[in-house]
Amino acid sequence: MSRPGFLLETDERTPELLVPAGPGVRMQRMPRGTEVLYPSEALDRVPDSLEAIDKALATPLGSAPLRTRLAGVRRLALVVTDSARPAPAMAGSDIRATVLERILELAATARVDEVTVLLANGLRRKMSGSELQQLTGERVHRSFFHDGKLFSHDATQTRSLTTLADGVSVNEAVGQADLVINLNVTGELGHTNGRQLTRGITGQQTAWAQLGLDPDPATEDRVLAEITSAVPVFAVDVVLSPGVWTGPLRFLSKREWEWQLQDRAAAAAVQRALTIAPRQTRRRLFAGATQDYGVLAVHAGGIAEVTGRTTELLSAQQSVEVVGQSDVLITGPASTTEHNVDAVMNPLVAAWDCLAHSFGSHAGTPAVRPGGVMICFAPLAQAFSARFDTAAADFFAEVLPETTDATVIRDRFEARFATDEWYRHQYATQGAHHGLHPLELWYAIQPAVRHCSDIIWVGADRAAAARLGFRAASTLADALEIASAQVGRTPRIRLLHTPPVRVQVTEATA
Amino acid sequence: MSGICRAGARGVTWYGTQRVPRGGAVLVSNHPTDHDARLLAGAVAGPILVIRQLGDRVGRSWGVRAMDFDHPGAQADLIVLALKRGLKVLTFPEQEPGPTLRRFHEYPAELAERARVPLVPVGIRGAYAAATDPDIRIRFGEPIPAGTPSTTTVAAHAAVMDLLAEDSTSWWQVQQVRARGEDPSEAVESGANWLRVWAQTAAPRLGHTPPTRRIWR
Repeated sequence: MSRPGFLLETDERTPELLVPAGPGVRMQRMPRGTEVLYPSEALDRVPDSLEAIDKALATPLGSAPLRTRLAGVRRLALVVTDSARPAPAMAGSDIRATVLERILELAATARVDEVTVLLANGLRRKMSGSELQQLTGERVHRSFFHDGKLFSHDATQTRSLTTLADGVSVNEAVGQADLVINLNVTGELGHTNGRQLTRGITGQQTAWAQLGLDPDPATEDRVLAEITSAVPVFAVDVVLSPGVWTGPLRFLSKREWEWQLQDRAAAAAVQRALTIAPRQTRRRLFAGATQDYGVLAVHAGGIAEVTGRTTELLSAQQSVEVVGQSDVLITGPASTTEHNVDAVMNPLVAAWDCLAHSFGSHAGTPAVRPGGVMICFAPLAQAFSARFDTAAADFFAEVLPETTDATVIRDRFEARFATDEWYRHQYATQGAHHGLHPLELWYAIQPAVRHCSDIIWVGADRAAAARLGFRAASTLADALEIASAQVGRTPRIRLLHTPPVRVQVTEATA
Repeated sequence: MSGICRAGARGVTWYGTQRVPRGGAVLVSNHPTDHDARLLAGAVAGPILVIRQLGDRVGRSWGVRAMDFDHPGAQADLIVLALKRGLKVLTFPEQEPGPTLRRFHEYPAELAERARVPLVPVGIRGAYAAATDPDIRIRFGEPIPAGTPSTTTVAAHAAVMDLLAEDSTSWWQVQQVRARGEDPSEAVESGANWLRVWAQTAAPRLGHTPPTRRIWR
């Protein structure tokens, strides 16, 4: 029986608590009266994931069985979630390999001639060959990769895009398929089956219409409608439980008062290592770490039906009810996010994880009040992956010193990042993120920037924080002192005890 | 490496070890050489019991007990007990080594049925002529639930055949061939021994496109 999430109010006896400070964690003593939001434990996993997959494909929601849908299909396109999710990566074999094998066995029985397996990376970086093998399994990789039938999507290659309607183009493997099977691996609300199609396998212009500054919310629905009216789609959602750290980091998944002796020793050792080790070593401590994810359910069938069932399950898994909004919200980035898989965490990604991802994990009302303050723990090291973050490094060095205003950035700089041939080349051939990727992250944090009166980074590089338009403090006490100008000296403080799960605040009425 | 593809001894690679179930299971493998038991050592977690047919030399230097598959006697009860307690048993139902896949004895399937544990097919390829620069690939297939020995033995034989074909072509090709009702076996029609060795030691082709016709098979 899994325990639900809850809110703990600290007192003078509460020990130091874990605060994420990607990469790494900190043990921090919280002011008395701080509300600490603990996430729910994982719901029960399916006892047999193979059986769950077969059952979902045989008795889908709002659709004929997959075996029937495959009859007469000559060209099949399999769209698969890329390695960005889940982050950190799965321990052991990836569930996507198992699902793909099951689907392909049915496809072989139905005598499907042509199969393409497409990774829905969208404007994120493409996957390397070894990553593709890890994700899809040796059997699928060996069967399709060398014939060019297993590859990552390229949003910039106009000759490999099919235009379905005005402003809507998709990868031609999808546009020309007789059936598209969209395999979505999700553990968070918002990563829906439909969104994987509208942003993961569409052309640059189509994806950016949904990711740009203040996009029209109706665009995503319109794009999805165009795709589903042009090609039949069979949706498959594999719903994952929150990841549990394995190995020496497993103490991170336990509540602090439940630590055993070996957990305390591991926590002390990790803290010491993070204090004295150089940045590269600190990163390696978490970089290769994996988590154990369980399968909560497999849903298959029509996109709307599958999304509804998945949303219901994830809401039950993630929701934690709280009363009222706080004056101060404390959080920190996870060590690995979907935007820095196998890469250093640059300041833009850290800002995104706190100010877009964590701040945005609510059911309509943010956890912090309008005009409140966010305090984030992160070093904001000015480090960018030379391979993946080509555009992000330039954005940080050239654009942010001139302005942090998102509207000005859109008007003056967006076209350059969208059309620069060097960024396009790096994205298409060298595995870098798309040129618009840093702008996507910057725009995504704007709701938090507008909502809060101040954003303070504890332990951060002061120059990096200033570049981003925020403030830095050495300690939590200093940060609260700075924040007192906005929220007073006795603010209501709330800590999102996030590692490794994001908490969904469902009720925050005064 | 992940459980999908793991390195064993030098020149030995295991694929699909994540398919081996926890608990008791009977592993049935093709038998190209006298060293097959050693090749599989370490592939699965936990202790593993190797049994060999009388006259089969595999594992003899380790002291692996030989038994008569046709008249197993009291040893069978001990093996079944071990299986029920979670031990894995490795068998070579072809009974003696050889370069091609031959008929399977039903005894491993009988053990699995008595202990109510699955059969796990294993395909070893590249071992027959491995010398100074081995490239041996061992593939584990999906477990086959215990059933009547004759049916399970046929299923295990077909599964091992598929694993060997998968290694020499690709998994997708094997699926397509099976869907057409054809036999993916790579067994050479000719009785010439050198041709059988040639087929056993051919390098796997990448991808799933059919090979171009060549003079030498």
